[in-house]
Amino acid sequence: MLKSLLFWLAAVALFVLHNDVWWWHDATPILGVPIGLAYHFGFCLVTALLMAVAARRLGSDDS
Amino acid sequence: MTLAIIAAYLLLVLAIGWGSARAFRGTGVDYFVATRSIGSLLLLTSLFGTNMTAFSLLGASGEAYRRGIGVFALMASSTALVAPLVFLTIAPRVWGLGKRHGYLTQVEMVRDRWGSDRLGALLFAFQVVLLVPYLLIGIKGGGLTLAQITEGTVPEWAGSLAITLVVLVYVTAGGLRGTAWANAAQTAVFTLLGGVTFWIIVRSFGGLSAAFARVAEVEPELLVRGARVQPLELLSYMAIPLSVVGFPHIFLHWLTAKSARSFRLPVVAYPICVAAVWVPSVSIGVLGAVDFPGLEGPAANSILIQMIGRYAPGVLAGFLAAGVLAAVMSSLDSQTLALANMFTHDIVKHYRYRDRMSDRLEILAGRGFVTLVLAITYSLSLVIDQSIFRLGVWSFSGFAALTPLFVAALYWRRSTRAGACAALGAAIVTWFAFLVRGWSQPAYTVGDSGLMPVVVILAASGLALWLVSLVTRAPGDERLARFFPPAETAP
Repeated sequence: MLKSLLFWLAAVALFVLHNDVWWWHDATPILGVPIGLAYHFGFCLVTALLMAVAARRLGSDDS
Repeated sequence: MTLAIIAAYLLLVLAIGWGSARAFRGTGVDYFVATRSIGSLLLLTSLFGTNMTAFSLLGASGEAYRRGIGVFALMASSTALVAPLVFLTIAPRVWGLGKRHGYLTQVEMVRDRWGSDRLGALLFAFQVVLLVPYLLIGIKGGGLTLAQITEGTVPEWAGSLAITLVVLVYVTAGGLRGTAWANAAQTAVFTLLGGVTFWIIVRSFGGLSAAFARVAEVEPELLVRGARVQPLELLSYMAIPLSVVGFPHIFLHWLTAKSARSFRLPVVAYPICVAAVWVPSVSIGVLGAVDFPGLEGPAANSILIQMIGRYAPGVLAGFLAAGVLAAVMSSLDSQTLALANMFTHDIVKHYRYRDRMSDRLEILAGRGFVTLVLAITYSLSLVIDQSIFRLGVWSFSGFAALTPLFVAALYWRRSTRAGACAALGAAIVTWFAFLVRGWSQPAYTVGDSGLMPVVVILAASGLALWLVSLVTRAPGDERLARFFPPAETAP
């Protein structure tokens, strides 16, 4: 129950973080890539990490 | 050389389809859902290949050429979050119910959940209306792109015909298994080729930093969201990837899973796959502004092809054509099979045979409908103009609008038949109203605020479901017991 709650809190946090209005007009390069693109690339990787944690419960009872 | 590579690729796909047909077990369940035997890796490539169309490779580049890097946040990273969440919460439940009750279509599931034939018929009609344009876009877009890549050597009609025939052969021969095997190869091809193309172009610029520095000199606005993407648009675009909840072809792939555990890899790897395909596509579109400034309309859409022509003509153009074919066919096959599956089970089996049909007849009907669907779609692609492409985002919005209906079916015991009908009715009416209103404006948002219409459609559908369900009689325990484990149905 607690794990589930924490997962959904993390998912909501990701939803909020997806709306990165804070560098809307910023083109500072991160490893050569504009920050607006680098950030969302990182966002995809962090999402994969969260899903890796959540997916462990899938199929535990195969239902 | 380009034509030789295209021909070799088509032969490869045919060989894979032919190979899969040897594993065919001769039953209806095997034809439509591969006897629920697909493991993690094939499930990932099937889901990803089906959901990523040719327009992830080409459309994303064209859109990024016009609007800059913000396109990645709008269309890619939003999908990277929403699609795995759906695979985590909706897909395993659907798979479990499909296995328990033998559902092969969403209409069968919805009809059974609320005991309503009329609701099923309305859902069937709406899904066909949304899916046919999507098929048309694939066939027509594939033909047009091939014509561009080969500089007219392969005319549009011939390119579309080649795609249609190859899909016809391997889908009729191997059914869903053929589709899954072909998708695995095709997903690998278009992901790999996107990466190789990106690497060659960036290397020609002198590296990643040098490439984006050139863009900063020419059109710095492309490197920020700025005025080209509105904050409310970014927020509300998150609802578009919910279309995976309503797609019949994605539903069909969910049913093929060997076990609930098979969903683990798709849930985890999907965001990484999205990033791997979309970062190159969006970046090449943005870099295109350096070499081809001022393009508009269809010329801007083909920026990826123009960049290939500039930096890596010849062999790479041939491989790009193969990548485009892969992306088109990996979606077209599943969509065609899903539509044939719906006609076979929701119409012929349900109404003509009262849900009893022999395996032989089921497979015959399935293959017949695959042929019919492709023949009609190809014929339409010859006469319809390019305005069909405008239906793309509306098709996504329509499927996303079905989310409240399916979530209620799986999670909300108190939802009623009347509530479900109201939800579907509200989705259809508001979707159609926005379609009429926004048809003439390609980038239509509600009141030009940036708010995507899909959010209003979802709200209307969800509200109708909730209100009507609360004022109508709750469903009986017997029906609920079919959908929820006994412990959950106890008061």
